[in-house]
Amino acid sequence: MYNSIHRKIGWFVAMAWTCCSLVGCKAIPLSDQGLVSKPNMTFSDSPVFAYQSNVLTQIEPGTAGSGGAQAAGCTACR
Amino acid sequence: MNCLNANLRRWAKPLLCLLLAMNLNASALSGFQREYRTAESEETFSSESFQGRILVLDFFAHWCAPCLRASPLIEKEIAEYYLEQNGNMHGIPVDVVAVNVEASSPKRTDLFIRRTGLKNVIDDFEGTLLSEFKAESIPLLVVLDGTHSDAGLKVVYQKAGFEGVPQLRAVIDSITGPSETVRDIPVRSAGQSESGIKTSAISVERKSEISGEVLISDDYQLTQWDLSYGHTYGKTKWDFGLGLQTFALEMRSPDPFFTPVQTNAERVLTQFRFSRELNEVITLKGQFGYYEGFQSHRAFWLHEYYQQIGDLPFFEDYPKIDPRGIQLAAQVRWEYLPASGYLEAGYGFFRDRIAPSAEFGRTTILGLDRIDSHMLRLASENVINSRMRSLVELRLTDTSERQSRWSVQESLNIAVREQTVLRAQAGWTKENPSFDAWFAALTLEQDLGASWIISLFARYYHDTGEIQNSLTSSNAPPGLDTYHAGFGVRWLGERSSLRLSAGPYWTRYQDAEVEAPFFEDLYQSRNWGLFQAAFDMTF
Repeated sequence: MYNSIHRKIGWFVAMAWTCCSLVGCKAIPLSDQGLVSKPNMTFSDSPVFAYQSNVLTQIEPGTAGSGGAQAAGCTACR
Repeated sequence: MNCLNANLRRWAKPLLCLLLAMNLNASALSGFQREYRTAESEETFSSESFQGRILVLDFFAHWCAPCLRASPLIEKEIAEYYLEQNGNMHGIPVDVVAVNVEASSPKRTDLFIRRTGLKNVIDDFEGTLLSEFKAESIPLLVVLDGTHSDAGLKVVYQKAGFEGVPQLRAVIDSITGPSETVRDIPVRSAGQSESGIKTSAISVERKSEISGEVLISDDYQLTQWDLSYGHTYGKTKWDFGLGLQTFALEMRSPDPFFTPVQTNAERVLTQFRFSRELNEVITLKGQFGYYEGFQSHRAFWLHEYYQQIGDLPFFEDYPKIDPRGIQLAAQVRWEYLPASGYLEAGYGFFRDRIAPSAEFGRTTILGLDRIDSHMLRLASENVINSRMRSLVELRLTDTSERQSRWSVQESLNIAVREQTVLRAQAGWTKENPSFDAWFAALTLEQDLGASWIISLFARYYHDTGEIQNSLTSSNAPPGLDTYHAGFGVRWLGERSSLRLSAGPYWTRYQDAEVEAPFFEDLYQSRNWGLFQAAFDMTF
């Protein structure tokens, strides 16, 4: 029961967030692009700007963003 | 008649202030007037100074990444080129003026100007001049023809985005003026200067990155080191990367047949990535990677354990394995709103040669030693409003003899204030029949001047434990909670940047001694320290 309620809340938050993220499907006026274009406001693969740790994905199988066996959490075949 | 009150900028030596009063009429700027003023003398020039000349306006802002690539080329290959040539093909002098549209962070604008080598810069903080061209994005390039005295300045070219030097030169050289005479000047290609020095009229950028991570506890030490070199040539980009992972472990186990051992291993990775802009909105990307070595310290630990048990005289030998793998990936990116939104779809294939699980008895039972994975990825980035940018990623991974694994990850960057950014991230992963994981992270960044940013971050991760394999003694990790906090600092220079961060990391496994008794040491709760450093340089 407790887990079920938490799962529903989690789904609701995830869906609400997804919808909010996608409503930005319109061009932002140039005068409003300054803040959102700052280097630390953009999403980058560069290790200087990305916060993702490659080492931690060895320990946390649910956060592996790429890779085969590791990303799929394959333990029977490791 | 509109009037542009341009602010005096201290970096613009010869042309500091451009005061424009213009009346836009169709594609002509008639009644165009201007005044230039130098810092020292306050000398002004009247609008007639542009009569008989060509004016190129290059609108930019310090935060505009495409401007950073376009402006140096415009300065070198347009301004300097036509100055050297004494005008265009018809002998008409060409002026280039860069127009800064961003009022905030003047130090960052200084940095942009130094990096791009712009000579003549004016400000348009109110966007008055920009609005005359009804532009919604930068870089914006405008070519004005001042050779027709009766029509003022005529707009002959206006383009949001930089098409390249050859296109811009073609427009400038097509302006003949009233006399329509063609000078007898040697024609040279865009890549050849008069002095014979080869120059590039296509945006060329090289970038090197080096990064390292160390995760250390009392008995385990895990590191990862990466080095990459990238090359951007116009619309084509490639980079090559090398990586090294190391594992140093003090292994123990309650298994009476196992002898504690201190051991270590490495994993070497190579990666090649390629991308090509097909047009203004579509980019194709490709990736190939190869590695040798264990994918994780866990895989290495288990291999060492099985190897030692398999060496006992009453068990069958555990096979010698040389773990390695390849990955191939392709993606297409659609920028449906340039600078504001894109959609990316991709497919990846992974083949991993791995050390199998084992169960020792009268006959040794081995698990798979090769697995294939197929991954589909969908990502969308959007600017939600003037203060929020989001990224949503969806992944579906299908691996040999497993059910499909779904992952959703959402990131939201919020400019709380001009100098403060909050980065929020959350993700959720599910694989039937019983694996669930989620995480949430918050990072608060504060600008300290133009070059320094400090950050505080916190992160929580939870999973239900991986799906147990079919062996009697499962090696699947039990449920896990992790906590990570830390402090970081980032420095942004003209052509390089640096990031350092450090903080504690706690792993808390549930019931390791029950779920995986022989592997209790591997799944023991630990207190770690995580240290990260990264440096990049553009040249």
